[in-house]
This record gives sequence, structure tokens and C-alpha cells, in this order.
Amino acid sequence: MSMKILTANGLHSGGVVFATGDGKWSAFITQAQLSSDSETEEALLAMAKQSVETQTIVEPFLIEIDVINGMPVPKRYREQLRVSGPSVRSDFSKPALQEVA
Amino acid sequence: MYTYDNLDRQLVHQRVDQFRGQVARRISGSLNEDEFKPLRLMNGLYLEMHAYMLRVAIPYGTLSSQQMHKLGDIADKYDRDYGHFTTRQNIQYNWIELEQVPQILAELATVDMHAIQSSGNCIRNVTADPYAGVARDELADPRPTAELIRQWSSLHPEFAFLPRKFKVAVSGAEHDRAAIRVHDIGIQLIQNEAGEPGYKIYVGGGLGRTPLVGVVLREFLPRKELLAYLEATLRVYNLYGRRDNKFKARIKILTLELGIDALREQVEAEYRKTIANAPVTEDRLATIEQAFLPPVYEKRPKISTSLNNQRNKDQTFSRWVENNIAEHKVDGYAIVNVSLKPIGGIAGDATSKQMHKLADLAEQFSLNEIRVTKNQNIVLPHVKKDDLGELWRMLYIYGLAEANSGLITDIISCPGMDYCSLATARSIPIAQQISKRFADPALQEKIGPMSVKISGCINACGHHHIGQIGILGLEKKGEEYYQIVLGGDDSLSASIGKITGPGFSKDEIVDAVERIIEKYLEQRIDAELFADTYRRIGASPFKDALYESH
Repeated sequence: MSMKILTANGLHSGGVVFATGDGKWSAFITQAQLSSDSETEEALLAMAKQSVETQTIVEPFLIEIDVINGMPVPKRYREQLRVSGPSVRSDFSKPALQEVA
Repeated sequence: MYTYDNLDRQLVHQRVDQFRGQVARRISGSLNEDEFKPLRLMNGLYLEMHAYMLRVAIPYGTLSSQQMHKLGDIADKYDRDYGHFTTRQNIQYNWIELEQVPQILAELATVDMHAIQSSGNCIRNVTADPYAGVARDELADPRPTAELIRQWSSLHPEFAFLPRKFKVAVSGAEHDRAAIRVHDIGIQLIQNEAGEPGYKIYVGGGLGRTPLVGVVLREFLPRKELLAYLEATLRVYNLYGRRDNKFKARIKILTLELGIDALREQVEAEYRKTIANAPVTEDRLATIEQAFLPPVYEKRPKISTSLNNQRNKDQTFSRWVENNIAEHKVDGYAIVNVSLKPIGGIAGDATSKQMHKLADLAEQFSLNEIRVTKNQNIVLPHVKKDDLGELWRMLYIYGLAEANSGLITDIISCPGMDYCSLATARSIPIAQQISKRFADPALQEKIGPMSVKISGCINACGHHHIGQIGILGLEKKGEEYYQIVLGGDDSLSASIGKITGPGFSKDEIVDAVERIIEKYLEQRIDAELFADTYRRIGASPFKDALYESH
């Protein structure tokens, strides 16, 4: 089973967020909860459902990743862009890590 | 320029209040996302890859200085200090927070602007020739017609839930600068043999996954019957347009499936019913026309000696005049094309500082008027030729004096996968690389008029089908790759470009474009345009150039 993480957009900012696994959401992929089994996936999706109902996030979905040098890296280029920000505006690129939001 | 009356203002302010309540209910949880999404889309609010995007309508691409200042204010206060001008004469803000949208809309309302119907399955922002009212080749000003349609279509209850979005463009000139034949309805202002004003109506044009050139629905429609005829057309579409398949729901598919004769029959039958009850537009049109009367121009000589002297002294300025100035209908005046395509820059983006400066310059040099073009540039429509030197110096300081209007680096590019959640590949970086490759001004001028248009997905917001060189970004096995289409044309003789063959990787596509240009330069006769060379020699030589070494 491929490794996955759960992502969404924040309701208020519309910004990209990742589920950290402890009921929180982070703007930084390094803090995402990794899932390699169906139980973890289901738990993440249940948490997402709750976050949708409490008006925290919208449009949650799982994405496939590779772990490279200990860092989760989305397989699809589209998701890599969601992580890093527009490739044409390096001034908007996000730092790799920050405290959980 | 048209300014809102009390009814317009009341309607827009009421809509702001309504949306303020909807946002509050979404945040409190009394509306869920499924309920809220159609409401936000009706107010131009999308959720894109990185944030909310707000699309603000600029009806028929016309702005006052005051309105441009407001757009700059919003970029500064609520976004990351810039906005993106689109191929449909709108502006998009890419980094908007949900709670701030009602306040932004309230601010827009203070200058008679809004985001209503900039999304959703309704009649979208009506677009028009950016040279309206000032073009030498103009038969009649399309703006009063566009404004009439704006008033009629705004919050029209019958057409709020069409099978799919509906785009209308209007042109009154010999040369089509509004791409009317690739719109759901294209309207051309004409006269009949008796010299009476009226319209030629095209239907069923569009790009996207099924690109089609519009066909004539009505050869001549008397001016006062326009709204009745549009109402009949929309009613037929609303009734018979497909709702079972999003990809077959546009009126172009109905036109294709029914056939133009059968569609015309249906429309004419409906028209005979609507004409009796349709609003009489002649009076209203006459009132609207008062708002678009030509400004009072000074009497000036056709040739500006001071302009010629400045051109002789400064080659960079002279090049800008050569490429970016169009003939004005009034002697001594010029139409100025302000390029939003600096070499290596992002097509259509303007910072808040640039927007404020453009507003100031319009006030100082262009009778307070600004136009936004489908080519993602800005037009200052009323500049005295004697003032061009001073205007250029100010534009130069603010990075707005690229002398590339209509040349190969004046590239149309949609936001692509850098921003757009529908995109399958990036388009901006490809445009930037092509722009850098052909940056040499002498090379650009040697190539001559050229349109390169890039879309990051099949929805074709970058109009790739009608570029002389069109590029479509797709995804294949997780990688971006790019198809080339050649021979597109967005004029009245519109044609859809043809795919050359297999696509190219992002590292190959710029070289591929260069090979097309080299082949064109090798094959053209004298100053023959690319489109003419392509028609004369066909696709094969270009395909050979693209794929022989590939």
C-alpha cells in the first residue's frame, strides 16, 4: 500500500493544510500524519469529516507521497505545487516547517 | 463613460449585503460547503489551489481612473499586492480570505463595480473591442450595446441557471478585436443596404474541449430588436441545451447537434412570440448612448512634430511608438497599448503600484479612461500624440513600457497549474521561457505580428486554439507535457488551430517553438504574415521541423 497523507483547504483562508493526526491541521507538509494502512486512512478521513462539520476545512482528500530524506513528497506535481506555492513566485514559497497552526 | 443610476447602485449594494449574510452563515455553520459553493460562485469567488480567488467583472473592459485606483487598493489591502487581468476582461485576485470578501465587494460597489456573474452558469461579463469609440476602422461604438446587454442580463431571473455558462462579445469595427466568433453569441454592429443600423448575430462559437467557430444565426437584426432576439435565443438554449453532460452543455453543442438551420427555426419561432412583449430597447439604447458620446477632443494636427523629433532622438521610445501605438480616429491623438508582458514576466499581472500609476496616467493623459484587453494588456484610448514621450517615460519607470504589442513576446497565458485547480500543467513558466528566448527586440520585429497563446488545460482560458501558435499543457503519467496547435485565428475569419502531433516535455517546448519560427522565417515570402505562410505551405513543413530531430 502506498504512503498517503490527508490534505484540504482551510475554510477561512482557503490555504493548503495537512492533517497532523492529532485533530489539528498544519500548513506544513512535514507535520502531516503519514498513513500506510487502511485503518490510519479511515481515522484521518473521520477526523476530516469532523473538521468539515466544525467549519475548519473544506474539500479534504488523500494524496500519495514518497518519503525522501525523511520528508513527505507528493507523487504528483500538482500536489507538490500545492505544498510549495506557485513556482513562478518564489517570494510566496512556504518554509519547510513551522509550528502546528 | 456609463455611470450607474440609482437602480444599478441599489442592486449592487443589496447584493453585497446578501453575500455578507451568506458568508456569515457559512462561517457559523448554518450553510455547509455544498450549499455555499453555488452562492459564492455567483459572486465570483472560487477556491483555487492555494487560496480563494475573486474574479471581478470589468464590463466591456472599460475602467475609469477612479475604478483602477480601487482595483489597486484592493490588491494592496486584501491581496498580495497584485492582480491578474484575464482574457475575458476581468481581474482576478489570487490570495483572498473568505471573511474579507463582503468588505471587498462593498468597496467595489463604491466605484460601481462588482463580481456578480463572473462565474456560474449564467450570462457572464459582456466583452467588447478595447478600441471601442476610438478605432479608425469602427462603424459604430459597441459599448452602448454591451451596456444594454449588461443591464438586461444582470440577475435576469430566467437565465440564472442555464445549462452552462454563456459568453457574449460585441464588436463594431472592421477588424474583430473581441474574438466574437469564439463566443456563445458574437454580435457585430453593421448596417443593412438601406443604411439602417443593426446587428449580425453569430452563435455557437467557443473554445474548451470542443473548439468551434460561431456561425451566422441572423444576417441582419434591426437594432431595436436585439434584446427580444437574445431573449429568444437564450430561451431556446435554456430549454434544449443539455444538462445531462457538463461537457456537452454549451450552446455550441446544441448548435452542432441540432444544426444551425433547425436552431435558427426554433429561435425565430420563439422570437415571434417574444417580440410582442420584449422590452423596447430604442429609448433605453439612446439614453445609454448619451453616456458614450465622444469626449471633446482638441483640434490638433495629424502629424506631431514633437513626437517625430523625440522618435529621432530615442530609438527605444521610437520602437515603442512603432509597436504599441494604434491609429486614433481623431487626428493628433493615439491609442496606447500598455503591455503587461515584460520580458520574462507573468502575463496580465499588475502590482498595486502599477495600477495606481496607470490610473494617474489615464487621468493625466487619457481623459480618465482605461481599457482592459482580451490579450491581457491595458489600453489608454485618448492620448495626444504630443504627450506620448512624457507618457512613455512614466510607463518606463513603472515597468510598463515593453515595446512588444502584437509581437511574439506578447504571449497570452492563463494562470495554469501555478494557481488554477482545473489546470493539468503550468502555462506561466512556459510563457516566461518563450518570452526570454525571443527577447531581442530586433528579432521580434523581424518575426513581425505573432500570437502565441498558452492554456494549462483543455478548458482553454489561454485561447490556445486561436493562437497562430497555440500551446496546450497536459499531464501524462504525472509529468507536464505540451501539445502544439498551429494556424489558429481569432479575427472575423476565425479558425481553430490544428494539433501538429505528439506533445513536448517542458524542457523541449521552447526549442520546438523556436523551430516553428525558424521554419516560418525560412519559408515566408517578403513580409508575409505567419498565418498566410501557414495557409500557403500547409502544416507539413512545420511538422517536419518539429519532429525530424525530435
